[in-house]
Amino acid sequence: MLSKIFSLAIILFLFLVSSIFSQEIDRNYLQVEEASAGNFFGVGARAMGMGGAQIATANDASGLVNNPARLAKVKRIEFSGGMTHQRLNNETGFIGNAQPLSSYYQNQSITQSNTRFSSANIVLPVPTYRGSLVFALGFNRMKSFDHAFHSTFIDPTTGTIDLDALALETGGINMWSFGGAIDLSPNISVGGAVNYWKGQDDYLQEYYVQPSTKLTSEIRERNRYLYDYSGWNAKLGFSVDASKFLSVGATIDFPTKFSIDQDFTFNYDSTDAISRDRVIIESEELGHYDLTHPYSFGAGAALNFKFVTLAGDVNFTDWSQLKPSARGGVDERLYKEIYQEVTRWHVGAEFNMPELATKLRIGFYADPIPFKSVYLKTDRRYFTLGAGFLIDQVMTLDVAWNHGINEFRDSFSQMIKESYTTDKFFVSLAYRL
Amino acid sequence: MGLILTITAIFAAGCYTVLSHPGVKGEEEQAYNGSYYREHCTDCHADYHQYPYGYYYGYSPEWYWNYPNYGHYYMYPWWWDWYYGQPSGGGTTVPSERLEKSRRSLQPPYVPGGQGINPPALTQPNTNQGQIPGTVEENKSQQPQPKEEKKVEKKDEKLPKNRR
Repeated sequence: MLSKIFSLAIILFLFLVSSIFSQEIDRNYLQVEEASAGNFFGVGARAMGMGGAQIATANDASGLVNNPARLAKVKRIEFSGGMTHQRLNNETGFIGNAQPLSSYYQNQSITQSNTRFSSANIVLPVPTYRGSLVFALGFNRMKSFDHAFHSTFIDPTTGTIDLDALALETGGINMWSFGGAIDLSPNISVGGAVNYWKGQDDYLQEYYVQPSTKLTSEIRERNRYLYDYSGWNAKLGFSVDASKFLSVGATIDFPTKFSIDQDFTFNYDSTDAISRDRVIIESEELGHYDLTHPYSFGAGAALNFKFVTLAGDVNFTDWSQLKPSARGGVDERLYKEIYQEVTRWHVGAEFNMPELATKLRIGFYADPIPFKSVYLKTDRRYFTLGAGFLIDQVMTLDVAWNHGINEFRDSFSQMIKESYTTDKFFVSLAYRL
Repeated sequence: MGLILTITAIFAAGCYTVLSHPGVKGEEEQAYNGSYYREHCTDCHADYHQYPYGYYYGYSPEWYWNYPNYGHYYMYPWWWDWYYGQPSGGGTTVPSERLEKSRRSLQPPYVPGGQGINPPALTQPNTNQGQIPGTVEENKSQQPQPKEEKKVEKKDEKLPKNRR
């Protein structure tokens, strides 16, 4: 079976290779990782400086992604683009100095950095006498699969590496969008977007088992999973300026039906410790399946004071409603059992300093993983900072920094950790004619 | 299907947003003679001063008046540049050659690169005879007109039609 039911190898690996655990593997420990589920990355430096809280406050091209209705607030033709840089660090090993007598993990740290072009958008307001009619076209990087893991298992009797495991994952899903917004009343706007999703996931696992005695074999294994995603969906947004001080918004993401092509290559190379016979296995398997993402619902509110805007969003998705096609080989019941309802939430603030043509931003957001995990210790949380500069009344430069953490622990001793630290940098430049 | 129905319902219900002002008979023949640039607009649109960046273009922070670079970037519609140019010396002059092509948006209160113009305190329609609005051509637009305008028209339809 090609689908990525490899027990979220990163995590389960901790469990499988550790001799200090004695439980049987049961369904509680089974993980099904579908990369396209969740993995929110964030679009736009202004948005991500405010913790991603934009459903009621977007006032630029990022509205195409965050709430299409907010496009109605754009009064000038806007060209914008952005880049992102992500630096992910993953530390594995024992917590503290405690080590079991029989065997132990060597503390490892791996860092992966990726700089990517992340967005390009055009916003075209139509001249109106009253109200607003705005269209937009854009490309935005919506999901990131960048991830790394390295773990080393030491044989205490020899002090040599017993098993070394490496996992590298890169890629993401981009979204091409066409949308528009219109004012239904002085303070009510509605908008929509049609989105084409396209992206790739490149997941590489490498294992090396070193013979600890003369009776065991040396094994090298390399698995590579390539996924090619494409799909369509639509998004509706609503925005209401209830007063000069209060804005509210809501969004509905309609289900996305992804068509997924897979290419799995397997390389196995072992040398028998006694006979020195070598076994090499190479195989490649192609596959295809469809996967339908469920509805997502978002709501947000913003308080607009003289020089300060406070904003908050919630976004709800029931990932247990992931629906694979039968030919994918993944039992839909497995998704229902393992995936769960998730509420992502964002809060942020923006402080205007017009004398300096500068805006300062701060925010926070929680992005829970979409599946149940007995290993989860700390879910994904991000602290954000940002700044925006208005240049010569026609251009804005926005920058943002997001710092996030999350951690997994073994479910038995709570002594083995897999700790992630993520830093995301966003830069956006917009020019308004 | 739900999405299509929603979009259809929005447009079928009639839309608040309109692209151009309803035609005003004889307007092009009249010189603009208000004592300030929006004087006659408020004859029909009494609440216009609530929307200093255009008629019903939404709320805007008041401090934009003191920092017109923000007003220009976030609130000043690009088509005002096109139809009204980049006015100087107060921004109260409408180029006559563009009037005919105008979308008939109310004249911009904001002067790019300069100081904002504070909206006058007038909030009620002015009913002086010399400022009575013109007749609305009903066959050109379904846009409802304020009641005040209809009352004035019944008094004297031959009065100057100089409102914009």
